Amino acid sequence: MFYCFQRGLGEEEALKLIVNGFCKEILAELPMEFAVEAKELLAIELEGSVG
Amino acid sequence: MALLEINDLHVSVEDSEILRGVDLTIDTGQTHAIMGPNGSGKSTLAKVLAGREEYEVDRGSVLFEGEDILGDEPDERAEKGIFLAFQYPVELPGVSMNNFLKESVNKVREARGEEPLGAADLLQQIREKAELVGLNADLTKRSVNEGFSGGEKKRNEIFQLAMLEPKLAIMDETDSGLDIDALRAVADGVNKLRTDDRGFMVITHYQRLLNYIVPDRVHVMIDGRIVRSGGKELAVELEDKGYEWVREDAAVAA
Repeated sequence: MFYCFQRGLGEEEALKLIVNGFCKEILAELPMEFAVEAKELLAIELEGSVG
Repeated sequence: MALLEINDLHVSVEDSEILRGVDLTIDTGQTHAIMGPNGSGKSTLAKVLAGREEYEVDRGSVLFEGEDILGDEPDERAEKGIFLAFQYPVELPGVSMNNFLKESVNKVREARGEEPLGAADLLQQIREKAELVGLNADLTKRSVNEGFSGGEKKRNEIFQLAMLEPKLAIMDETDSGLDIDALRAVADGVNKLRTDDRGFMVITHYQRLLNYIVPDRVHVMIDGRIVRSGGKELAVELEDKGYEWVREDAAVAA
């Protein structure tokens, strides 16, 4: 997280980026139709979850 | 006006005092080297300036462009123009360099009152700056630092420095773990980014980096204090005589 902060990202932005990245690695293993839906869900869940 | 002014800075980690009264002023356009043996507090200084929270500031002040920044969050300091090139850059799996740079560059641009870069402009900047610092452009298509070699990680730090255009760049042992070719490549990148409106703090254990990045001033840190300052010739003298020489000197003076 500190690496992201040092590059100007706030807590919410940093968390979103890292969690999304982590999930992307996992979603890459899933069939396409699940992946799209899961990605959309993820974006909703993360909004406003910090701070 | 001084770009960075550190006064009587005392810092501790878990009740152990690491910095014991650091005084240092860097004017804009200048490059200052901080040298010192392992455990002298050099890297602690870098992290405290960037705002790492594990470090407790017990006393003293840090002024950046005349403003005390010790109360600022790390991202606020980054937005003000402080960049830390990490000794051990972090890997961010699944986070593409493009995405990371888009967020990062546009946060800093916004803080400077500039318009965010669109996708095409960003890509062009990425291409230009990667070429400037000699970063393999293929790396900018990968996840941040993931699977990068040691030299590529360090070069990626210089690349991000070029992208973010900070006012103060702190290089925390950027030379560690690099062979001579990688060292020269990193130093070349840094030299291209030295301008009249940017200051550099180059932290290093060895003099050899300073053969390539020639500093305006050299400071020697021992046991959490700067015990000696001089011109670039001080680095050469240190290489000859070792840190014990300064340590003994400092003991006599105290």
